[in-house]
Amino acid sequence: MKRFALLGFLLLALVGCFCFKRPTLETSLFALVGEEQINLSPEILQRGNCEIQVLFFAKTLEEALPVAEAFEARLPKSAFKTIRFKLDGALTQTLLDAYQANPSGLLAPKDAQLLESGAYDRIRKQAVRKWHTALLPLFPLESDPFYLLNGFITSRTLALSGWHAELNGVLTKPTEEGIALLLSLSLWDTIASNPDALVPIVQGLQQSATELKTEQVEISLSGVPLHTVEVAGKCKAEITWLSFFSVLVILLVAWKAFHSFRVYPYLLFILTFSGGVGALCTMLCCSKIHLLACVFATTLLGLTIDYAFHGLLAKDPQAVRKNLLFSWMTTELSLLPLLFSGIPILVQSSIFMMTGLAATLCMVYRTLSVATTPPGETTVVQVPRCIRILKCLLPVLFLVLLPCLAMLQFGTNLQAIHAPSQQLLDAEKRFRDLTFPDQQKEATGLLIVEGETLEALLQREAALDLPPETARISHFLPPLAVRQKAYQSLQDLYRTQGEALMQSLGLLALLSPLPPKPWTEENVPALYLDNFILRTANGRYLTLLPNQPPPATLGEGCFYTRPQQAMQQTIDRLSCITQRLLAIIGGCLLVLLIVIFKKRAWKIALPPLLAVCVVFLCFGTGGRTINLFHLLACFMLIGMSLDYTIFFASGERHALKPVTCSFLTSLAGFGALALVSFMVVRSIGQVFAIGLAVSYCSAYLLFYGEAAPTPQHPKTEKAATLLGMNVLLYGYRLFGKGFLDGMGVLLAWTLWLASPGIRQFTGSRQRLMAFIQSMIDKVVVMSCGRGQPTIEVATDADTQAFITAVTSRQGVFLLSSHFGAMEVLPALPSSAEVPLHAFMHIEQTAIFNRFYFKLFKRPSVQIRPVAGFGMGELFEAGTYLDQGDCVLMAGDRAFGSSQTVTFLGQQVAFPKGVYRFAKLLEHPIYFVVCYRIGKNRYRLEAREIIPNDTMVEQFIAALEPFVKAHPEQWYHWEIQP
Amino acid sequence: MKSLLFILFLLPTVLIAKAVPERFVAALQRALDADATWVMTKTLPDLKQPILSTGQVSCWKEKGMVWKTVTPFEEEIRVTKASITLIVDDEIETKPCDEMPYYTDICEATDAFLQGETDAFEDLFDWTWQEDATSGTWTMTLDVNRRQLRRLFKTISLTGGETLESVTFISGDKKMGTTLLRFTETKDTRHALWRFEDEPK
Repeated sequence: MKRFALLGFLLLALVGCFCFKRPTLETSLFALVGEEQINLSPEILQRGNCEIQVLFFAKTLEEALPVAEAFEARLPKSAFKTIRFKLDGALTQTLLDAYQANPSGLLAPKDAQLLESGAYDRIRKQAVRKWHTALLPLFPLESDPFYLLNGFITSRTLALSGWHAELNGVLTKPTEEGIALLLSLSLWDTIASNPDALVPIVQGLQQSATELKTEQVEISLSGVPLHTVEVAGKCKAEITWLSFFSVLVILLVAWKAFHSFRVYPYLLFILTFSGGVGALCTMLCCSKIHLLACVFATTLLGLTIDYAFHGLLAKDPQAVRKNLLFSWMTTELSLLPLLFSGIPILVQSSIFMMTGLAATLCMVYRTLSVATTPPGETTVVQVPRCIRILKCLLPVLFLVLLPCLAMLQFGTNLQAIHAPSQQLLDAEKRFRDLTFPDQQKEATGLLIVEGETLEALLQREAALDLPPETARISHFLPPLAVRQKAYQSLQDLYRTQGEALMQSLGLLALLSPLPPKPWTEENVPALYLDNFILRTANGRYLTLLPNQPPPATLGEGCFYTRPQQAMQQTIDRLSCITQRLLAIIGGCLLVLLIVIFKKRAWKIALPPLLAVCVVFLCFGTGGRTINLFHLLACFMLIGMSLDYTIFFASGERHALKPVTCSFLTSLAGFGALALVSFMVVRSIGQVFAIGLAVSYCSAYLLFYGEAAPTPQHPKTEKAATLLGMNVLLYGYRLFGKGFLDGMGVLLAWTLWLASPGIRQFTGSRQRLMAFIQSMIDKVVVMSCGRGQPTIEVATDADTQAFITAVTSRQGVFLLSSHFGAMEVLPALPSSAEVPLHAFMHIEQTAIFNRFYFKLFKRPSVQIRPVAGFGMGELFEAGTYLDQGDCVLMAGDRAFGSSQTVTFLGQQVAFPKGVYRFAKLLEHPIYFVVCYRIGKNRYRLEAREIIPNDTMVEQFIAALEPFVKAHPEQWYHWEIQP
Repeated sequence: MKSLLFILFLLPTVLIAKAVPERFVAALQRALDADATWVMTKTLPDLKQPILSTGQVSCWKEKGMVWKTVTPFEEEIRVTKASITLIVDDEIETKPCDEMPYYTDICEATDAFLQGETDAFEDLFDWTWQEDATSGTWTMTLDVNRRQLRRLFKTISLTGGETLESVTFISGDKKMGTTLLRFTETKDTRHALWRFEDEPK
């Protein structure tokens, strides 16, 4: 109950923390190392994470358009924030209305030059000419008498990044083979950041592309979400299978170790508890958690299982406590550098693992008993010669491998993190070549302009010295400062040329120009806000200028970055830091081991060091390089390897089994990650697969003979709970005896499977089932409930004589045994009038007996609990017999004085006192059995016992044939049939 | 200039599956390879009286069009598939076609129309046709159904007989006014405004 309460409290804390903190799950590869490392804000990364570009390649637009329209019709519209396929007139209308509301200072370059130079006369003449052409204006005369706003609009290029707007609104670009048509999609943030929601949508797009493509029309999809799905889709399936496989291995290893299912709830509890504590602490400390941190964090589960196995299989709890503490300290120490590494994914993983492991240790400590076992005899094991040789070779091997480390190659290129498929790479290249055909992609980067307000942003962007053909937002929204400057000239224009214009055109009136208003989110069309402007969490405005060469100077609020190069540099730097940390932590652990284990420290340190050496040589030589994730996995490998050696070296004689169980479960769980397609996880899995195998094998060889196999000891069982008994009782009252019989079958199977102790005691499932059935029948008989068994009385002379003696109130002394169920005897109708006094020793089944007496309804049966047989019991029994009642005592339960007799071929202890009793009381003595012969049917047989010195032998002679004929109904557990 | 392009090249427009009247097609195809004088009356609500202009136009089927304004000022616009050139007071300003949205599409559609593809501009307009048997004149009314173009004009009304006689552009917004162009074909000249070096090789 305490455990449930603890879990419940933990669950509440988790839910509360989740609701309060609302941590977000990161999936971006940039978030792996921290966006600030590569100078990209989360908003920029989020924008990139949401964009998908679909290209339709064909010879002509007429071929491409129907396919594109069919593709667009299939899109799940609710998943996309924007779908840019056909630019329609509504957008154009919105744009023109926005400009018309704020027209002052919006000038075509040529008009701006004329205005600045004071050529007002030319502007007027130009306006007159334009009003005289056949064309209809975009803006009414009263808003734009000098045709300046009309000129501004026509001077703006409508092409977006070089894409040409067709008359039907689609964006196209010519290619060598014909034409490319663009459909741009922007996912909602919540969908782009949730792999479970993203994967089906992207897979749907890919399926549509596959189904709609023809010989004439090719469809290509690119964008960050496709990379995410390519990784997540494969990863999810693989990790699901691997998790299933790992759980299966854990279950099988646990069964093999414990031969019982009872350990599963404990393992589940401890995993849930440690995982819950780890998750709670991580959520409290981190507002964003990377998906890969969850993968790393699964190493906690392996360590938890390891500790649990050690705790459950402990023969010497004190020794195991000490070893667990050492193991925990070394593991925590090996994880500590990750906590301060500054790399988000490592910080998150280390918080999870360190806190979870501490919780595991506490919980395992609680389950270890405080009693200590006395030190046993030292096991002397003959070590085979080959093992001795290998023991000596291991240090030599390490010394030989050590210099080879000088040849190691370290390096992490971005393909170590993510290697997209060739199809996706080709699609990305095609889009890039179409959109930025003339630029050197490798030499360009991303120019970011930031402003506290929209106007500040526009001002800074306009001030940048960029090629005129660069598409930028200030091209469409000239900053206020520029427009205010133009406005002053505009006022002069209106003042000097207004009259002449009015006369030329015959204007009714000429309105003065309005002062320009600053651009705000309210008066800027959504088209620009969605496509060109980002808003950060702290309220700043950003705009991005991709594929730019490095600028000569950067003004205030401007940043230049090459994300991929920055990420590569960051990873290289982190690799260097990690190498140093690994060396430092190796040194610290070595010192710690020397302090604790003194001369044996080298032996304990050797297997982990050897494992790390072998791992490094496998991945760092022969043209391969050790990447950052190999290094990170080494931290965890060291911790887990030390767990093996500490336990092997502890002198704990039975460490082989728990360490082997730990190794197998860890290998199945983490070594199997080497099969995953995602590079990062695969690197970690490779390290574990090789490293764990090397450390286990080398630890086993080094400490061979010091850890003997664990002997099997049966475990004692706990009695049934009162709650469970009451449940059965109420079920019986509601549904009848059939319910109890069914529950009995279920109980028999459960106990048989769950308890090796019961299997050993009972010897067969049939015996266990018969025992349970007898208990059920006892309860039914004594409670006078439904389904009373029927009792046949044997027709032999002794049995008939017994019945006559009882019914004629001669006062019969009944000797019972642990064969069958004497307690059902009161169900015999003829026994109802004859009281039966049962003198019983009932200490050993206390819970059952409490329940039994609570139900007891037979007035003719009196239970007399006794701890022994003395004069008091003698007189009491004599009184009952003299009254004509029956007295019942067990003839095969030895307590008090006993005698050794031969029974069923074994020397066993039988009581003495009960036979003396029977002899002294001078009443008929009968050995009575009541045994089951069918469903709810019993048979009563009796054998007369002659009161003399051979009463025990008579008893045994009467009992043995029944036991041999029905061994499954023999319930004396200390004497096997 | 861009809007002028829209007007001139959207003249030969037809729609959808129903057959465009042959008289209309013939008149437009004739106009696109002929010379004419024109008178333009532009009515805007903010003016005391309409704006009046006169001039000449010379269309060459394989080449393009030259639009010349004579009064109240002189101005010449030369429209070809490659560019649009504005000549004012000896100043020449040329804009390449790729700076003009929809320009190439309209040029290609016009060529197709002139080659006999009467559905070259299908789904741009809804049209209605009226013929006056007495006078022998026809009226073709085109309602723009492309939203991108509606800002420029909502309806184009063309009238004529054997030749195109008038084009009226009516904006959807009253503030933008209407423009009426009347054409008189110059029978004794052909491609008169085109210079020798303009002739197709």
